[in-house]
Formats: sequence, C-alpha cells, structure tokens
Amino acid sequence: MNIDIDTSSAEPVYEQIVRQVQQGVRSGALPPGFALPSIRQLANDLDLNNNTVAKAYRVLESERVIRTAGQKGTFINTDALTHIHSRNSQDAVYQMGELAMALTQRGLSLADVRAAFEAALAPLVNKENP
Amino acid sequence: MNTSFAYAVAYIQIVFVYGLMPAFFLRFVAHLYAIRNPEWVAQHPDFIPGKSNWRVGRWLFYALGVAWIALLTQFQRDAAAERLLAALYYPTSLWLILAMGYIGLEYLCVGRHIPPATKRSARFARRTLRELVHPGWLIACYALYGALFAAYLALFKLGRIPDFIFEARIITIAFVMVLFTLILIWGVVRKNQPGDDIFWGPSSRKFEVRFFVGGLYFGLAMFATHLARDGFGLPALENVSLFVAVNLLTQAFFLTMIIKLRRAANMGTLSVPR
Repeated sequence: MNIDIDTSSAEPVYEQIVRQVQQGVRSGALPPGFALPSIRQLANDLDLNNNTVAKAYRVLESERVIRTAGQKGTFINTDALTHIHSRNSQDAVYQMGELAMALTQRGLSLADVRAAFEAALAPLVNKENP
Repeated sequence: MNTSFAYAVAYIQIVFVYGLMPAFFLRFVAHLYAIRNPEWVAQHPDFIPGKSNWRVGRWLFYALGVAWIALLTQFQRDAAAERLLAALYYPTSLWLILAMGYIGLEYLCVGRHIPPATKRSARFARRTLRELVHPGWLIACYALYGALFAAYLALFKLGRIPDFIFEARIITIAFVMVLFTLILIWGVVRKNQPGDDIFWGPSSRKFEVRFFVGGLYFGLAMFATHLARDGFGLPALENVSLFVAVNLLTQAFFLTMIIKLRRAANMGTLSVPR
C-alpha cells in the first residue's frame, strides 16, 4: 500500500497519514501485526519532518490502531479494526449531537430533527437493501 | 593473457565510458532532479538549461577520454606490464569518481533549488535488510571475513608474513568491510528515487543491495587469493586477466544502462535538453 500526501491540501499532513492508515486497516491492506515503516523512513521517503510522522503515529497509537514494541518497531494492533469502528461510532455520536444541537437552535423540534436524519439516511438504507 | 587483447579492452572501455556514456549519464542526472517536481520544472522551462552543467561536463569527459587514449598509446609503446594494469582500471575508477562528483555538483546547482512536489507518495511498509537479501548470505560473508582476519593473524604470529604486509592487508580488509557495510545500510535506508525504476523496475533496491553483497564477496575472493600468495606462496589470480574480466562486465553493465536510458528517452520520460 502507498501513502499519498498533498502538502497544498487544507487537511494537515499528519491527518492525511492517520486517515490513510485507518483506511488501510478497514480495507485489509494493513492486516493485524503488519510492520509499519519507521518514523525516519516514512519521513525521509515523503520528504517530511520527522515530527509530522511522529505526530501521526502518536494519534494512531492513542486510538489503539497501532502499537509500538520498543526496538522491534511499530505494528498494526490485533484489534485495530474494532478500535477504529468504536472511535468512528463515538465521532458519529459527537458530530450528530453537534448537528442536532445546531438544528434545534434554528427552531426545529426533536421530532423534526429525527425525521430529517431518517430522510437523509433513507437513500443509504435503500442502497444497502435494494 | 594476450597483452594486445588487454589493451584493446582498455581502449574500448575508454571509448565506452568517456565517449558514449557522458551524454546519457549527464542527461539522466539532470532528469533525476527534474522529476522531483515535474510541475514546477514545467512552469520554469529555463531553469534546468540555465543551471545545469551538463554541456561543460560532457566536453570535460570527452577531453579526458582523448587524454587517456593518448596515455594508453604511450603505455603500449613502452610495453610496461605494470602500466597495462593501471590502464585497465584507472580510467574507469576516475570516471566513477568524476560521475559521483558531477552528481553532487548538479545537486548543488540544480537539485536543491527545485522545491519538493506538493503531491508525494511512498510505499507504506518497513524496509529491512532481511527483506532484500537472505540473512544467511550476510552471516556467511562476515564469518568468512572474520576467518580471513584470523588466518592473517595466525600467519603473522607464526612469522610467515612480514609486519608491513600484515598491517596493509588488515587495514585494507577492514576498510573494504566498513565501506561496503555503510553502502549496504545506505542501500536500505535511502529513499526511493524515480530514476530507480528506469533501470530495474520495482525490484531496483533488491538488485542494488544484492549487488553490494556481491561486492563484499568479490572483495573476499580477492583477499583470499592474496592470503594464498602471502601465506603459502600459491600463485594468486592473474591481475590482468581479472581486470579484463571486470572491465568486460563493466562494459556490459554500461551497455545495459545505455539501452535502458534510450528506451526511457523514447518513452518521453527524459525531458531535459539534448
């Protein structure tokens, strides 16, 4: 798998790395136990500062997607997929809560917000169950 | 070994490396830096022709080639055996040193002024020596070098080789070992260059590292023949034959590089001025 970065993008480079590693885990390209490149190697290959890659690895480690085993290196965690899913679920609750709050501040009732969410989800549900 | 044949190889080698190679090599070096950021280079079309030293470099190589041929003709006229050996390996060695120097000069004048591309990509997998070459080859190689050291030490203690030969051999062996080990490490850690794929495709790094391991074994074979001569009086490998063989292999290697560069140029991937 390749990591692609775009330094002109609005998304910070470390977040681009985090997102692509998570995508790699979800797609199966980075299976549990997969040996990650060292910080220095990835920074060198991508012409980046070591601190940028180190920050991405710290975020991934805090999300328990990767684990550092001392001198042996850094690996994809055995239950990385579960942690990514749980983290994404938490993010979804938080982001939907923020949106629901904003919508209620605009004068919509909770029933209206629920109906709006269901209407927004309907096309996705139809796509999953054609 | 027929002396005329050895001289013929030396002449062809000079024509090869000083006549045919420079034009390809210098364009390739400029190309290597240009493809770091093709978009930026396209936006600044006068940058590389204005900064590159490739025309000066090319004529310098031609002039040196002519000088080597003149020198070689003089050597052949004098018919001195030790000069034949020098004629066989000095021109190529000097070419390699000059080539390395040119890469550095071109980096200072061109490469470092080209900003890195905004969109960059890298393979996301750990690179280790173990993946590029079987550890057994390296363990055996270093064990044999250890045995070589031990053999020289034993022969020295037994008084079969004089001090100055012992010191010279130990220093040379240690130098070759350290040099190749550093090159091996560099072969693993250095970042992928776009030019790598032109020569050997995606396996370029594996090829490169195995080539360096081959160099370690070649050094080992050379030192073993010296050991046989120093310690036991056995006839060492005839130097001229060895260097003729190495020169022929070098020519085959350079020819492959030229063919691959020609193909790359035909595909339009070499975008620097002719």
